[in-house]
Amino acid sequence: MSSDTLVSVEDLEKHFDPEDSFLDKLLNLETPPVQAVDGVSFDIKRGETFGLVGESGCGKSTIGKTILRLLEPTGGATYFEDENIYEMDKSELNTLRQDIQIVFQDPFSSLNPRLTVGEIVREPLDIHDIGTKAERREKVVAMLERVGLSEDQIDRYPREFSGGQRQRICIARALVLEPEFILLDEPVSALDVSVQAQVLNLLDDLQKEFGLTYLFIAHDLGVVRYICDRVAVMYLGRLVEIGPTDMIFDDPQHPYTRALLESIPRADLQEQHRTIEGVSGDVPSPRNPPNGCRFHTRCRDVIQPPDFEFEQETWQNLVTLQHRLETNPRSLSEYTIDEDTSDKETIARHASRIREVFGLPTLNSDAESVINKAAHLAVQGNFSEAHQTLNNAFTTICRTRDPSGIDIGEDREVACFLCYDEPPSIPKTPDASTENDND
Amino acid sequence: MSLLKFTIKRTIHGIVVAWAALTIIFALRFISPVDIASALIPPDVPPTARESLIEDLGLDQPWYVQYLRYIGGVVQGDLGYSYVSRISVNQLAINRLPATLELAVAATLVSVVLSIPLGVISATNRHQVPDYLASFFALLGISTPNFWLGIMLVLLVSVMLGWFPTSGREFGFYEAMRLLILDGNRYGIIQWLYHITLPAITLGTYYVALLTRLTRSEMLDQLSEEYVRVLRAKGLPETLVTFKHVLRNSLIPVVTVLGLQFGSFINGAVVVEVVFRWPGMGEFLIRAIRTVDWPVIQGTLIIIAITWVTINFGVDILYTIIDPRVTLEGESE
Amino acid sequence: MTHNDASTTSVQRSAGTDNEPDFGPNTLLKVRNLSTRFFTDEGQVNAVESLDFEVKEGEVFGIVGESGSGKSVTGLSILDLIESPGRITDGEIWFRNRSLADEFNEQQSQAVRDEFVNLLELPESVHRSLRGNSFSMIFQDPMSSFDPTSTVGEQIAEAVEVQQRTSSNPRSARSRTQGYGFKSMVLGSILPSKSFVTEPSMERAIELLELVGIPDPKKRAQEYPHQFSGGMLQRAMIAQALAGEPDLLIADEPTTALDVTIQAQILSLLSDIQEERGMSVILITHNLGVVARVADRLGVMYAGEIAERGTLKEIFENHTHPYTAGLLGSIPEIDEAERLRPIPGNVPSLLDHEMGDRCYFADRCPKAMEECMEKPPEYEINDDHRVRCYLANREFDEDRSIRDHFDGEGGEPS
Repeated sequence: MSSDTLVSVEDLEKHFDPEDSFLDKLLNLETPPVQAVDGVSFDIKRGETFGLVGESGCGKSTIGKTILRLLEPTGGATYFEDENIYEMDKSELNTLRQDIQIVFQDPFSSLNPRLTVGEIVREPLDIHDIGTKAERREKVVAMLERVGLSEDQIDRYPREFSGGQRQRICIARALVLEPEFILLDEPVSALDVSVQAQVLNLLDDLQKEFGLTYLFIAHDLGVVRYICDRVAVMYLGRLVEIGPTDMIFDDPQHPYTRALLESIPRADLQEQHRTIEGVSGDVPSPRNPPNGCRFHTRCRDVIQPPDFEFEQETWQNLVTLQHRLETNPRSLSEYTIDEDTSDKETIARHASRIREVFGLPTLNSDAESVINKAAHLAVQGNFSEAHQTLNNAFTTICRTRDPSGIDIGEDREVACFLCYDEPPSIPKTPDASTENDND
Repeated sequence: MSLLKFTIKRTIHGIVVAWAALTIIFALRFISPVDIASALIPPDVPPTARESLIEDLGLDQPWYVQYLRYIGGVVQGDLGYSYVSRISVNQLAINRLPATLELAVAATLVSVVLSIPLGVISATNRHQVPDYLASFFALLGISTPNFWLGIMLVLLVSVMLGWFPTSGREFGFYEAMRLLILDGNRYGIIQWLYHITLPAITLGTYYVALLTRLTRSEMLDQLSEEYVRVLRAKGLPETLVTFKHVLRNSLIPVVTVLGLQFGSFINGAVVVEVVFRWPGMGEFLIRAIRTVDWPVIQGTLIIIAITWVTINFGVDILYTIIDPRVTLEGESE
Repeated sequence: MTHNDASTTSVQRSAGTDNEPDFGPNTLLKVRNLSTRFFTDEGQVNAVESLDFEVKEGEVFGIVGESGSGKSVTGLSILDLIESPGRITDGEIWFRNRSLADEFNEQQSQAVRDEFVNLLELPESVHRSLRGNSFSMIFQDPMSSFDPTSTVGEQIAEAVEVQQRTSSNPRSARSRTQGYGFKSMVLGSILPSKSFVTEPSMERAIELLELVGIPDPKKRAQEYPHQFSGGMLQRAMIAQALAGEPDLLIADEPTTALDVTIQAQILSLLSDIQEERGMSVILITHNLGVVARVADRLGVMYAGEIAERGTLKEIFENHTHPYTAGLLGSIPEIDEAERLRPIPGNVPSLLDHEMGDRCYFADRCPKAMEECMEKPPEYEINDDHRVRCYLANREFDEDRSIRDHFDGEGGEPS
């Protein structure tokens, strides 16, 4: 670890286990855990603003809470100044809590409505027993003034302030202990745009003045571009891309990052003429994430099996069908026919319907017979065999292997096989365990 | 989770709860300052007869032998014999339980039939005269002790007006129905209704007040939900919004309270049964306590505990029907 | 809830609007001088004040503003969805509807002009009967916009059903129960039945779900809202809003609660449907990017007024109002990262006694001048562009600046 690293996260994992009781286990009623964060590593350098972006449910807030040890991880480590915070004892943690602070998204619910602003900001000083009474007050006043409030507001209650002012109070509270590191969890997303810009500028100024290091968690990419030095993009509990902000925004490498950036509407006159190459469908469940690259089920650029040449769209649809057959075959029951129907014509009609729904046209290649067979099997309700048929014939590396972050130079890493110089070979047995491919 | 697995799981839970209740009840007997033998046996009984009586009742055994014997009996469905009348507790309970259950069901009906419409009227006329009237009524109901209400009803409605009998229970529901169905004789059911009306009203009133307040506040909560605005925006008439959507969602917590309440109806019945001389478990229990008839006390309490567990199980099943977000797994998907 | 308090309010015609409304050939909706107020314990809140705007047939009109600017209240006012303690206190909402115009031409001629009727002068039941079939509305948070205990299909079918009843018998739509029996309704609150939804309406609901791009519509129709993702549920809400084939769709922050990738899907769905059906849309949002993506014209709202309005091009490139400039300068763009120029100060209070009789933006305005202590009228810059600011016809003069006057009322720390 280099000396300019303040926080280092290594292989962090947080799975939320459902609370299965002994009886549930006895009766075989266990539910799979939610893989909120699954093997994430990154370093935050001293004095920088490190952004963590992703859509809701991708695990970014869980990372934040786990780094501060508000949640206990299920694996991995976080080092703060070379000390693993999960091995700290109570007194060490107490010291740590002076060095790291947090500002939450909602300034309305994160301030105690029964305390005055002065008391709220003074509270951390009281808890850590810093300074005399007069010194504390002096410090509180200085901090309030620094964030743009005035001394005569010190005895007012949070409800008398607007959203932006409350967020300033939260920032003052975080700063009063003179921390080194502040976790900003969506600090401006509850604010109006005009106020949001004020708070962003304030954060920027404070960082320079106090030499702070920020971890900035957000879903608004515009805000991230504005304030962050480096950015990590998350999808379903994993990092897909990490690098300096300008490079990620100007030249995104991972297909997910590209789609994310494409999707943002620009406040620009040309916006209506821009075609968006976004993402279709919804994020899969983190209880049951896709094998291999977690994005491959929605990826436009999912890699084709070496022996076939599909239209990319057809191939993508085929991947979607495979994923459905594997994770949620029951949702296909609408297309099945009665078990005892043996009428070939009916079967064929339903099979072509399912192909139509999934966008799989008749092809002039070896693939045709396989797809046809799988469609027939699916129509007859034999989902697992349909899945096997497709799996045996078409294997994509995106599905069988887990892309680990590849260094593509200039301090950037991308977890995508498209960025590998030489893609690793596909293992012979499809669906082999992909858990330990990272090593 | 299948219903079968859920039932198995809940049955195991239920057994554990019942066992715990049983143990606590059993322990009470040893904590109780009253010495059973001296309370049961008159002082003028000669010592030899006294010894054999104690031996006969098993009171000479150490506590764990008594406990194991007792548990063993309960597992086999035998609640023991009354110290006083020497009749089996099972027999006594079978005679008494229906009366209490009938009263609890009737009281529940009274409270539901009165409280839900009152709650709806209150909520849809918020801060207007009907709301204030309903609130007043609710307050009155909550602050009236039900033994007092019972006595007042007996005085006013039975003694002065002579509309209903003052006490007793001529027919059980089962016999009355049998009479009606087999012989086409309505006398039984009319007598049954005639006798149960006042106790049911007395027992139900307290909860009318509670449920009215609950329905009102739930309705108001639901009315401020975003989906209500959406229902209006799509052109749904106000009555349909109120009854089909708002009321249905408001009833979910009401059902919970109703389930818990049914259990406390059985408890509350103790007082009401005494006032109206209603031959149910409550009256039975009071009498047993007075005579320190431990097997009867234990048996009655266990039956109440088991009824409670069963009702809660029923409420959980009912939940999955009225609220699709609740699954038998206990968490939403 | 009976809305008794609201129904007894007769909306006064303001003395200032004696002049006749003039309607363009493709005007669909013309709002004039609309005021909506909330009478709270803290005082009178002027959520919308003397608002004028017009929506043409087949266009997307964007209303942009920050929280408390009155943009949502405007949408709710058009559908008469304002709840106590709020009330529409003044104004006219003219809506093109030939059959209503014919019906009311004799009884209430003051409420009718050509093909237009003033909704605020018709009986309230008539105004409400237009919900769903003339106007419909979609809201910000799809998760809380559906009844959690009914299936999605049932709720959409319900909308279909109501609209069919209305079109087969317009008058019944104005009665309290609209022909639904009271008994069946009471039963419906207890039994989880589908007694209000007929087979054909359910089929129509499934068609609508398919139309908005929901896969396996037949199966999804039988699922409950919590089984849907946010994006799918927003699609379902759009399907529901289309059930009555409305002339005007009011979309209140339709994508704010969604992730960007889903937001892009929903926006393109909305604009496809709008083009296909030639429907008019009022798009209410705080996000200028969203407006840029789908709107034809827009109004920028501030403190219950439209501060500036015009075509997208005029507002983005030719804006006059310093608030519009401030709003555009506050958005962090993803294509470049220059220092933001935020608007100092806070979102204004709308309490009547705190508002004063000046330009409401003056206290935050970098170009506030002496004349701004008096309320500016609306100036017409050209046919496509109007603004409520003195800068429309004069330059900013440093000597007459009153910036200092407001210092100390909060602002950005230096």
